[in-house]
Amino acid sequence: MVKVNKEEVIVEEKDVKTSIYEIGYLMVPSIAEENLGGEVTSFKDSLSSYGAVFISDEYPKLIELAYEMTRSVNNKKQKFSYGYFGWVKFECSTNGAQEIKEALDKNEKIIRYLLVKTVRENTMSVKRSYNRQDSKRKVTPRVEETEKVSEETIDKEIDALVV
Amino acid sequence: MKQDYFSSNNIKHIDYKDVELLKRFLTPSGKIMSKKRTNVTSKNQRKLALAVKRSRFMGLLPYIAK
Repeated sequence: MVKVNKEEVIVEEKDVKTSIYEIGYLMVPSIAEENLGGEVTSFKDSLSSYGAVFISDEYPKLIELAYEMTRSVNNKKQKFSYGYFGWVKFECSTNGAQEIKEALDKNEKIIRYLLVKTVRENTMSVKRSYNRQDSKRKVTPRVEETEKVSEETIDKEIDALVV
Repeated sequence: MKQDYFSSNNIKHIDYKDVELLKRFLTPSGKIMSKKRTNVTSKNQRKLALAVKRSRFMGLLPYIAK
């Protein structure tokens, strides 16, 4: 009979369950393009400090928002109609995700964020380019064969029309 | 009978970031089209509605288009 160490069993049970999450975020437009890279890396570093393992991401792009957003910072309302939108997909424990959420709430550089559960695969639909190619009809240039008409014949025809 | 757009294009997950795809299922005023008009299954209609609402929250789509 094999003796099972009780401590080992407890450790196995405590093994944390991880899930795939995705954070879509809007950064304040006041950040200069040069400093954006630094902001993104510091944002990612803060995520990895909570145990996030990155799967994929997209670098933020400045977009015009569909409507004006307001965010109050230090009891002052700020209005935004532009923002840097980016996203990051990562694997993390449920506790880690909760901590990330709390940290993002305090981040003043982020106007808004959306933390959702997702899947490891790419969820963006692939654009069907072949359809477009089909719709584009190949236009073959028409070669119009024009008969070379001498000036004399043109003059004659004009005279005939005048008369 | 018209087929479900998502099933026929093998789209399993409707992403809120896929704005161009979502716009197909909105009216000119920005409302989500009814299931009758979208011709998608109930399951996909629910997924579509969730994706549109997420996209609106992030400012990618308007709540009301002018």
